[in-house]
Amino acid sequence: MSSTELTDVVGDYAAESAVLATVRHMLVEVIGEDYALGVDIDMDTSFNRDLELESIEFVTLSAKLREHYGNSVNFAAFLGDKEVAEVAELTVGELVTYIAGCVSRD
Amino acid sequence: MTEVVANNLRFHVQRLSNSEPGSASDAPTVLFLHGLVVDNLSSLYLTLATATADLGAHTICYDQRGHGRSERPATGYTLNDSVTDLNALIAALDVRGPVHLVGNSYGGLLALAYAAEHPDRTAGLLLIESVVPSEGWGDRIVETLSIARTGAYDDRLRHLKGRKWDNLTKQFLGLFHETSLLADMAAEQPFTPERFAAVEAPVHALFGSESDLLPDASLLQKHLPHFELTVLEGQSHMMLTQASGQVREQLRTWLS
Repeated sequence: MSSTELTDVVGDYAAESAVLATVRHMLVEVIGEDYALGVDIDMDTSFNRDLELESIEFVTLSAKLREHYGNSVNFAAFLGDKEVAEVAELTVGELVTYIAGCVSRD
Repeated sequence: MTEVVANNLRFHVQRLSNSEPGSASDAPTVLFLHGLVVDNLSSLYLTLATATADLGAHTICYDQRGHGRSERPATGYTLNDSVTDLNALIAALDVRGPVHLVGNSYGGLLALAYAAEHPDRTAGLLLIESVVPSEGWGDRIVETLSIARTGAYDDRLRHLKGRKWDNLTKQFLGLFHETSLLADMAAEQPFTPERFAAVEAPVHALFGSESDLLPDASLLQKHLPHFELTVLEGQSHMMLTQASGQVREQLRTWLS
């Protein structure tokens, strides 16, 4: 691996860590501290299985992200042609990776 | 979360726009109307709203009274009350020009009622598995909701559990036991031919070939001045969540 590639990898990792921290903070706001305290929110955390995130809470999260990152984070593209059940099965990591990709292209 | 006060009630509203403020004042406004009791703005927000904003439209979703994160007063659940709420909300949000309305299930009927009452403020309607205001429509809603209460719909909702299930049943039971919704629905009347004819805006309706509501589409066909019907093969009343991609394609075509 060249030093340039290494820098890219480290850069990606740093960007993802920053996004994860932001998403984690928002999720705690969305689902409430009482509930969030019992869940360790990381890249593998499932919105549905682990967080039991309601659709309307997903909407609140989407709105917060839109407010924070602006139109550079395109939720229509992220949700793509997913059906509602698939949206519920997404992991925090999938969202974080997507956002980090959008932000780095800006 | 955005709260907007209209008709003396707090409404939860989500607005989406991909254009810079003020740069696209002539862009259409699309307003989304969700279904009754077991629904809120999230179903339309997660399936259609972001795609609509991407097409350049000003996009508005809101929780109707008693639903989602809007206030739940004890009374005021007639179709006319919903039209009054919607009109007050449009005024409070300072929406300019006529609106495009997209309604799912009861939201489709609300769109029709709004268009009949305010033809000058309505540009077009997209109805998704709309309740059709035929004879006895209110009683049929009461009946369907009563069946749902007995748990017969559990198979449709079994992916929900824990906190999610608790919150859905809280809304459901709250509307059932603490509001006039069922009584209001039971007292509803069918549309007269004149009320249908007052809908001047073009109406595009989507129904599933397997839907119990499909036979009622002929009533819309008969009475609405500008009506187009699309039947999605193999789909049921749940097409918005079960065939989101197909519905999204229909919406893109309708809006363009």
